[in-house]
Amino acid sequence: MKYVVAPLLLPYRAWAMDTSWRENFYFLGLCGAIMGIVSLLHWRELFLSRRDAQNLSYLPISSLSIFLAKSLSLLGFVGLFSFSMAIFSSPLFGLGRAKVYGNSLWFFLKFSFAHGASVFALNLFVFLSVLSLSGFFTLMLGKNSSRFAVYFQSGLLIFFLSVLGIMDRLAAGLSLEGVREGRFLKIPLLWFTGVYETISGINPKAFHRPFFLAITSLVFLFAIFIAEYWIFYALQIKGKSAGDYKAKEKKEAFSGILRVFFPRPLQRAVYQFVKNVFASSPRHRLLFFAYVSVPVGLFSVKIARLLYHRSFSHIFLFQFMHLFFSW
Amino acid sequence: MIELKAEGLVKNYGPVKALRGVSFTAREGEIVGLLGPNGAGKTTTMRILASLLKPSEGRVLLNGREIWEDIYSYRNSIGYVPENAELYPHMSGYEYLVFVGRLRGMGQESKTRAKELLYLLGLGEKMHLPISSYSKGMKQKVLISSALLHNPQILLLDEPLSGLDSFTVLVMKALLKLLSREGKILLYASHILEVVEKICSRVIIINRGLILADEGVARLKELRHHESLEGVFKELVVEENPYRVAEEILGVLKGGET
Repeated sequence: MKYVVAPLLLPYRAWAMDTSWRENFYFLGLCGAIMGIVSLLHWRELFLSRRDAQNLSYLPISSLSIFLAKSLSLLGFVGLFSFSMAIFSSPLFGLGRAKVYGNSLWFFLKFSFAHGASVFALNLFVFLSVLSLSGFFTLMLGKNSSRFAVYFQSGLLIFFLSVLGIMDRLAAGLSLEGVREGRFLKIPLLWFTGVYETISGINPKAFHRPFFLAITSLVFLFAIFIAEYWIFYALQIKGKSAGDYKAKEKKEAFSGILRVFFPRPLQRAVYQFVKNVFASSPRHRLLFFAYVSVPVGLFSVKIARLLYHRSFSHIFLFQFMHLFFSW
Repeated sequence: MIELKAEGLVKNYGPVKALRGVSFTAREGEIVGLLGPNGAGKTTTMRILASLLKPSEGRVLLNGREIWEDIYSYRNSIGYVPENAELYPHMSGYEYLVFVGRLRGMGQESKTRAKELLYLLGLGEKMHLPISSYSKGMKQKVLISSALLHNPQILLLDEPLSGLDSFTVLVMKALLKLLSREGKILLYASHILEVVEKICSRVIIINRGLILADEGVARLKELRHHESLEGVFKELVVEENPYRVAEEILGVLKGGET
């Protein structure tokens, strides 16, 4: 069965047992990129918003309850998403590895769990990263955050699309020796392959540091989320409107700059009209930048591949177009 | 006798002083109007009373006890209609009310009461549609229903009639009077003089974060020798002659003609 199913799941190379961790790395790359793109689409709903504050703050419920409810719902979201991603791949990874390291139900369950856990941990990492950034923008810019964050979202979208495009090259460039020597520690994806290998118990020594980094990064990101959450709460209760006055000052300064570039009233009017068409709502802005991001993402991948002196992968194009059109 | 007291409320937003020592007491059965121009400090006062904001100085007392000492019991005793509410757009009006009712610990009762309130306010047929499809007036009806849902002792209403159709406005005016007769405390913030004059038993005129007057409507008119609240308001708050400004606007319009 593995000869039929595995190439469908991992089309760029034949199933190779001794490099199962690299297959896991590749798979995690795809999962992380998709999780990242989905998180970006839900950017506004991730962190507590003014809407939450307005609707919930005067009700007789504690801020701790709101925090727990928010955290659990986000965790549930990541959990369900990871489950759907790992439900077919986990048994495959389990079967493949169990065949080599011990053909028993225990090994099958252990390896399947290891794969599922690494997918969940990585998705949580990507999600918490996007969440922390969303929180940062909300805290820094208040109600103007959605207007400015969209530029940053576009950048992230390009990044995630590029990750999809270079994953096969990245995975092919890895070696167990390099992992042992700590050469790839700057690649966060590898940290979560460390989760896979450590729970599997196959290469725990080589992957000890990546595993440690994976756990530390998750704790660190969760701590950032808690800190941002409490700062948001404290600012809300103290009255955040001060930010609005600052925003007004910034707006006045911006209109001064605008006059330099567009000295005639008609030019400014045209600029405002075009800007308002594209930026009439956060959804409009994200859609606009998503379309801009796709060619930029493709271009980035092309450049990355030229740097590697390799030709453009047909598989990437297929995967990318499939993902884009199904989305 | 239930008593809600604001004591020396000061609120600073950075360099901006929104409130500069606001003090008043509202007793049961009173409809207290908070009247003032835009930016006077009405909404900030209401948000502090609704426990959405903490004042920079001063405190709010319910029956002599500071509200933050037992905030959950205080929040259970208030109903709040905010000036600009962002409801959850994916929920229906009915779902939103049940959601709020459950968070207030009402259980199954919230369902029946939500339905009844929405029917009476004319949202019966649209109660299961998502809020994103509602007009401003319909959203306002949901907000009013959510404030009334648990039959609170204190109602904080910040421009509650904005966007409502004329029939609902009449219903609301009558309802507020009935609620005051039931012994509830009603605080009504608005900049529409006529409504405040008709509904409220007492008026607090506020401008630039300071209370300029705090009297019964009739007494205030008598003291300031005016026939209407508009006259009192002009005397206390309006710094420019509105007729002169109107004439200037007309002048601009005429000057713009080619």
